[in-house]
Amino acid sequence: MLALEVDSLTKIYDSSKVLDSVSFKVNEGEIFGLLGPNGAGKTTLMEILSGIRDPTSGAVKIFDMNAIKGNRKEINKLIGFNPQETMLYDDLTGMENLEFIASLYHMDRSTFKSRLEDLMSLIDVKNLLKKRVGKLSGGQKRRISIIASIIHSPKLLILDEPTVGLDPDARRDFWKVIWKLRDRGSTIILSTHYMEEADELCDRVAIMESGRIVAIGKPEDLKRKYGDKSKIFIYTKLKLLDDADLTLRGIGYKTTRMADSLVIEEDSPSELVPYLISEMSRKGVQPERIEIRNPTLEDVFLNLTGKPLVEVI
Amino acid sequence: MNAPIQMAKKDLLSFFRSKSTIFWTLAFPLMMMLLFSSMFGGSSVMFKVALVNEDSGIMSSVFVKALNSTNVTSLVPFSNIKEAKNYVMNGRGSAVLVIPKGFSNNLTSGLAATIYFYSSEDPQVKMAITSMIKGFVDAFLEEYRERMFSIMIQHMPSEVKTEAGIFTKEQIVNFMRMLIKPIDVRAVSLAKSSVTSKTANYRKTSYWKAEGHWVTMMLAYSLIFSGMVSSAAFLSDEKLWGTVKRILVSPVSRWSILIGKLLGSLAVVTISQIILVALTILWLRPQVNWSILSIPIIIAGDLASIGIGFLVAELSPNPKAANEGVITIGVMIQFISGLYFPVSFLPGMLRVIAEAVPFTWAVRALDGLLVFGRGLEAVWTPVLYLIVTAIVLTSLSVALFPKWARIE
Repeated sequence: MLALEVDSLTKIYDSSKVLDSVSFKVNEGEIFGLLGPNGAGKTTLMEILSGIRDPTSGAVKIFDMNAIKGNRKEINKLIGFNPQETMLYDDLTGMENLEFIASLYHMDRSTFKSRLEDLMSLIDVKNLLKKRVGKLSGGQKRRISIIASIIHSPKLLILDEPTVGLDPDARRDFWKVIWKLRDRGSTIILSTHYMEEADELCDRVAIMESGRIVAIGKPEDLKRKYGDKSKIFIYTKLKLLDDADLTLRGIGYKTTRMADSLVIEEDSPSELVPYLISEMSRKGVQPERIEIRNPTLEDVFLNLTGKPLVEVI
Repeated sequence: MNAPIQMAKKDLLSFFRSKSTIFWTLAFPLMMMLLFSSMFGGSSVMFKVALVNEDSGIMSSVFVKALNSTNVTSLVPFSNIKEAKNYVMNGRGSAVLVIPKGFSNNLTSGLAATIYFYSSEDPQVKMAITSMIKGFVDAFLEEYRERMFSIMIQHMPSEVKTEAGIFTKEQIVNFMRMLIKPIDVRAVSLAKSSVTSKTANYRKTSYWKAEGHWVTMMLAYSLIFSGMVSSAAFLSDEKLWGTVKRILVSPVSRWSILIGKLLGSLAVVTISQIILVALTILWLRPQVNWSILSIPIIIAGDLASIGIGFLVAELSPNPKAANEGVITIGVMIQFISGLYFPVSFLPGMLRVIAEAVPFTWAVRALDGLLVFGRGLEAVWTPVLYLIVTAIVLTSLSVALFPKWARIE
């Protein structure tokens, strides 16, 4: 079953097209990533999916219900939204915030308590709940904010840049939470501008630029289709670099000379590396170190848009 | 109905945790009450007068004793005029009063007596103290004449024969009384004549000295200011913190949000009114004609004020502008609605504006009930005006709410 179906969604602000005929589908139980720089239209798209904004045109179906003109109240019971801001009341404690948000979903006290206990096994907020949110750090607020977004067990969870401001360890911990939620049956749509996050976390990714989806698919497929070839970096002693170059050319590989290494582009580098090592050893130019660099979504973005993602951010 | 109540509960909790809110809703009105009660209250000594009493007779000591008992002056004795003048010139006192030698002797011998009075150069102090001393002397002399007259009556024969005829003692007494006091001006308190409660006993005639006004002030302050500030903050803070998005993605209807905000604001105003009135009663112990008729005025006024707060929040481009807007409007209304001083003190154009402001009517109606002990006739017009205002403002804020709740 499809969790989400977006068809020709367009949003125009003051004659500027923020979303330009965006279409995609998300399957139930999938982790779907929206990857793109700031200003690509990810947040606007997510806010339209959440019912906060109205589109200029286009259609959205959430679990086969019309999300634009249909019964939004029913749809809202099924979705959870966590925007970039933490969206919590600074004057209230973490617990008071969560209690209030649970009350918006008509959750009774005992359901709330058991649900919170369950979520606390995924996200550690135990020591944060009695403190006023205004006194917590950005990362601590984000943890409470995530719990607030999933306290009602949404079937579709929409997360806008959920790991912004988190350190790498915290980001990896968060990925584990996302995987666990997926394992429990939630469908997750998240936006990010971290390549490795989209690559590791998402089953499928849509790459957005200037309000359009420029590519969509599994990260591996996208890299294969739009990324560069993998690169093998071969390091030897500098005095042996010429001999190594001759050896590799002698067995039919085109090399590029870098300062202290030779580079070979190859589709299946892991299969080739043992052969290269044995050939070079046989000719007496034992490599000191070999590195394989696989194509990234960054390469995909660069090749599709002509500009590197990091620069655009 | 659970969502609006939870919304109101959350807003209330958040509101009373804010220090600035506590200041504006509770501390500020109490400060204003303290300020105005000390300015207009009747028991404090206002002027220090340096007294040089060169006379040792009985009349001068009676005069000084009477002056001391006014509570308007505090007499500081000096042995010579030079020291007394220095005391005033150094800014420590307001005037010098000299009772020269022979003052008592003259008065008891049927001769005119003189006192000398040197006032501070400050024109306001000079005007006030001169008028006070002259008033006191007039009152003192009236009392003196009355006493002299009663002594004379005791020694008067029952009939006096003159060329014009025979006059009885009663005729002579009436004639002399007329000479002593040709016109008797009697100041009668408006409040005193209409007070219905046995506990209400006003000693003063001035509007400002009517203690019940402090209760009106506290009720009306919350009604005007706290209602506007809380309702505007409850809406605009949701946008400030971004929490409006979380509410909008929940299955709560947009109308539930507005009802929740209305309930929260009403609760804030009611709680602050209860606290402020309770503190006023404990602190100043005012005499008040409690009336159940004040309830519709308070509720209608609360709703009108909350309606203004909602409108300001909905029409403001951002939360900061909403906050500034509502404080500006609230402070202006406080000062022109008769909360701190009568509307009649205002210059012409402002008075016209004040009369158009429904809260002026609310203050007047509350004073009518609580201070002057009036009945239904004092209430129905202001209540009607306030209800109409509340309906118009609330309808407008309801109409604009969907636009506010849409994120653009």
